[in-house]
Amino acid sequence: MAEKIDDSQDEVWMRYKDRKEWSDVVPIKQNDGPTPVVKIAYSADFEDVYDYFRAVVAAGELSMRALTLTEDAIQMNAANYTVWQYRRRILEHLKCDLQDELLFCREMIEANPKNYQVWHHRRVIVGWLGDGSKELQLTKIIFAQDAKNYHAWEHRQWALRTFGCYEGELQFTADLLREDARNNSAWNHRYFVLTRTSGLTPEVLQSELVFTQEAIEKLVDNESPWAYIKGLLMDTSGDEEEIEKSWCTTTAWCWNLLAKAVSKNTMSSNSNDGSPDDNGSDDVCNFPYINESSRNAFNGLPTDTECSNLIDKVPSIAKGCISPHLLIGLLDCIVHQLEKTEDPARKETPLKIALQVCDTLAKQHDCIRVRYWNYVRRQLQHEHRSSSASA
Amino acid sequence: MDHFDQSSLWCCREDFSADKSQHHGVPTVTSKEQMKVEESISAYYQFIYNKKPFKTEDLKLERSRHVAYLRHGLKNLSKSFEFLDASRPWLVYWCLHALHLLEESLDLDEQQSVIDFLARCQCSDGGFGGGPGQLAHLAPTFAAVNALVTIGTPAAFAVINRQSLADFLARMVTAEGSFRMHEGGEVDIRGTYCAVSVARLCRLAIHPLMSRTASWIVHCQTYEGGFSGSPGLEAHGGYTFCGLAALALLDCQHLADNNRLLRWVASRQMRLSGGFQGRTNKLVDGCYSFWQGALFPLLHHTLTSRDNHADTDSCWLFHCEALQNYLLVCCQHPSGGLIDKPGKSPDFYHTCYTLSGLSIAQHFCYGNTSKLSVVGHDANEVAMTHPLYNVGMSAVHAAKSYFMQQPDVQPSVFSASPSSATHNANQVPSRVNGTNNCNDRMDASADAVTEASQRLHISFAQAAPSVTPNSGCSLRQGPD
Repeated sequence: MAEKIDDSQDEVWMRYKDRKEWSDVVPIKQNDGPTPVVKIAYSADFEDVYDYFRAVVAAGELSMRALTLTEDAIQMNAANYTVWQYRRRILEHLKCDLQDELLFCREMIEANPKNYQVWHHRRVIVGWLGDGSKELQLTKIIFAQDAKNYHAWEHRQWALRTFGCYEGELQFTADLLREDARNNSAWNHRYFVLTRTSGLTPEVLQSELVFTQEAIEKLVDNESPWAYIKGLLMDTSGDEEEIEKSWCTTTAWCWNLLAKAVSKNTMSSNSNDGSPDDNGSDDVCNFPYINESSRNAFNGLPTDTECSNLIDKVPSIAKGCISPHLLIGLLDCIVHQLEKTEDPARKETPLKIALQVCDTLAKQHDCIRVRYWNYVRRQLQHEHRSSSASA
Repeated sequence: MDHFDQSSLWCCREDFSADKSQHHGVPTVTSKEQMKVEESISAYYQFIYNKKPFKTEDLKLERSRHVAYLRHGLKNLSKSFEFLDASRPWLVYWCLHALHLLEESLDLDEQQSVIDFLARCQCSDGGFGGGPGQLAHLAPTFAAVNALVTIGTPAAFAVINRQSLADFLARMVTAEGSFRMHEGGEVDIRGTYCAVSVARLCRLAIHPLMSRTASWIVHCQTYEGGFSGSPGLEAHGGYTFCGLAALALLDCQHLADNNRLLRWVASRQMRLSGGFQGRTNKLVDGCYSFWQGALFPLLHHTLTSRDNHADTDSCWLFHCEALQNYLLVCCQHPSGGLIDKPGKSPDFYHTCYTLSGLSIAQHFCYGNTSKLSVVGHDANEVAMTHPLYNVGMSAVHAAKSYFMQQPDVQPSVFSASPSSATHNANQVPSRVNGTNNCNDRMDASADAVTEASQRLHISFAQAAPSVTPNSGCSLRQGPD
């Protein structure tokens, strides 16, 4: 009887062909044909296990020993979906204890956290059990190693959708974001949770804006919250007037951020001119689509002249000293403003500013996207200039 | 020209350092990893920058080394490939397509070996498995079909049993229009793309089978603009390609928010390296050169058919030169094969998708305009890939003209119950006036990328009548 010693693990491994309890089975070789391609030099153990697996499948054997065989086959290649599928047939047929299966599954997930099959198997088993109480904890273990593991996020969202245990979920994303505010998966999950629980009610929208703006103020050059805030404002499910008001407050907030960034970077030359709290000019703020009451709802809204003065300074700021995400966020606000403005005369200044932002992004602050920003510039000109020129 | 201006290279720009990431006072796992990768990339770029005088020959695609790596892999693989034992048609496709891009052809015996092997992976009840005797699975089915199309001979095309393939697709479709990867398997946007792609390439009738598919895909577009693997998840390069390419193949690309998608994908090109990342705040990876890069030709079509402002530069809307720069400098392994990023080992997946991305970056081709822009050595040009299927452009045309001569194929179960078509039409999202219009127009514009394929579509309208449906096929995962 040939026994093979596995050097690496110091364990005795007996091949299936040498096992008495399998002597009734004739193993089936893989048929790669006379001229195989992508021929893998399988280890003898691998070949042995899969020869017996093929025999078991061919015979349709759904037994305890076949279940053990599938475990060995999975250990050798956890991505073999045929084995997993056959294993489920056996589990179903033998009405096996699924708690044991959960343990096995968890081991396999921890060993192969980026494998599709292990997570899918977990979902099938948990679905059969109808008990998702362990799933959030499982994903938490995986996130401890990799907080952006796509499969784990998919599993968590599946568990939430299936078993509806959303309490504490918003806090969970806040905790992850406190660890790493750049974790885009956590931001995405926050959006998932909100849109599937409370929805973006006016109160939720307000608190989310505050949460996100605080995150940006701590770390302006972080693309994730910028995308998130735009996602909130682009959501069409909420109250339209409320969303418009939020666009206004966000626009004002963006200008203030820019003013801070500009004054920080131009300290030596001219510190005061152009910042929004400079009330030297007597022109009016150009937000024609807000009514007076919401206009009073926030302060610090810069006038057109102030905006123009600020933007004029951006090209002189060294690359890398101002976050492109801030400029892009501001551009989105201005474009929104343009889209809401009908009077061509009132479009003139915002359009000029928007084109300037595109220019400075293309030429200086975001050169890798030069073609994209030139395209956006042409689009804006095309969509808004005709109306503004006809004034 | 022996010497050329280094400053025209993305990696040699004077203000290079200003594009480096910073912690901005808040170091986190993400910024630490990002800066570590940028450090290794900077070292490579600095090396080029310091090399004076600089010759075009210095920036060279090491064609012969990559060919040797691929040729060897196509034949024999070590024990360490056991983990890909359920993905062997993928290994075949990655090697064949990469060889095609490098303009390396197989001799007749080699072609026959591949054809014979893939035939052994085909299942009697339709589709291809990950190896001989494995269950049919949509991913290896996609890979096998693409590999056979890459070979492009009647013998290769003839391997594909279109009737059983159509039946397999019909068994995998779910009630909501998405696709299961295999019997009892997971559902995600990969399966959907693979199903749509093989159906279009092999000219299987996709209506009514896929009448709900487009609206399911649209639900995968996230607030960021990219697509996720399934609704609710994070936007991701691979899944975004699957989503947009499948929509385009279904002639439903207008259902997506293309502007938001363009913003998202343009933002995935990395400021320092010029390569693409897969998700916001993740690391650069050479394979996304294709998954993200190929979105630009698809978007170009939609955005320019609306107006004329996208194509004034005769260039895709990303920095094609910077991407080529990243691939040539950072993604070639000295012993052959291409890689994710410096420090990684080569593999066939990355070799295939980095070269595919290189192809997209080099070849602008839209309407009557085509423009080649090759960074580095003149001989760096690779063959042109089709951005919807990722097989050679000419191979797509050959496949379509071959399958055009074949009888029309419907999944057996659907040809028996035409009433499901009207039922499904009620499932379209409110943003459109009926997806069935999409499907009707599909043959006219799915491949608008080239004029030639449009001609093929037109003649397809006069194709032969349907084959008699098979009996005994059951619909296990039908759209009811």
